[in-house]
Amino acid sequence: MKSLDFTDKELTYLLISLRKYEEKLLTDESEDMEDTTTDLLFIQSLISKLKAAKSSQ
Amino acid sequence: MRNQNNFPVPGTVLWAVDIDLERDVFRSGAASKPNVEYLRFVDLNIDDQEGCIPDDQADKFTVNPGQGISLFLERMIPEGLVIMDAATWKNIDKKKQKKINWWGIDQNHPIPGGLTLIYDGQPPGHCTLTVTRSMPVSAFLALVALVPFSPRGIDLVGPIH
Repeated sequence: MKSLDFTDKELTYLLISLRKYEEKLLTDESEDMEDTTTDLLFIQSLISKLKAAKSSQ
Repeated sequence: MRNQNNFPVPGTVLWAVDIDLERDVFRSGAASKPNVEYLRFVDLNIDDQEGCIPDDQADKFTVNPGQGISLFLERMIPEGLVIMDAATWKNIDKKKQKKINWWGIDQNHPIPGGLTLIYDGQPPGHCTLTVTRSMPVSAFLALVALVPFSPRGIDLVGPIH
C-alpha cells in the first residue's frame, strides 16, 4: 500500500470527521452492538494512528 | 491500555487446513447468531456503498485474500464504553444500555477448505476469517456456514460518563 503525506490541516480534518463518526456510533441507540463494536475499534485505532502522526509532524 | 504482548506477530496464520485453531477468537454478533451469514461492503474495502451486500448481489462481488469476517483475540471493549454489572446497567438511561454478544469459533474442528484465519493486528487484536484464493461472496459465505460458532458471553456496557 502507498504511503500518503498529509498536512497538519488535512490531518485535522480527517480527525474531525472520524470523531464525528465515532460519536455517531457511540450514541447509536440500538441495544445490541453487533457490527458497531468492530466499527468502533477500527475508527478508534485509526484516530490513534492519525493523532500520533500529527504529533510527530 | 491493553497488553498486546499476548498477541501474535501480524500475518500469523491462526487456523488453516494444516494448522489447528489453538486459541479463542471472538466476534461481536447478534443475540441469536454470530452474524456471519453476510458480508458488508466495508469488508471488501468498498467505500462508495454502505451496509450489507444484498443476497442477490453475492455473485457479483469477490472476496480476495485478506478480506472477510472480522474477529478479535479478546473481548475488546471500545473506548468510551465500560463494562457494567447488571444492577448498574439496568439503572442507566435505557437508550444508553448496550450489549456486546460475543461468539467464538469452536476449536478441534477442521477449517473448511478455501478458508484461513489470519491475525492482521490492525486494529490490535483483529484477525480475519478470509479466503486462500479469490472467490465470489456467495461461495465464501457457503464455506463460512460450515464453521462452528457458539456463544461466548455477553458484556453489558454503557458510556463511561
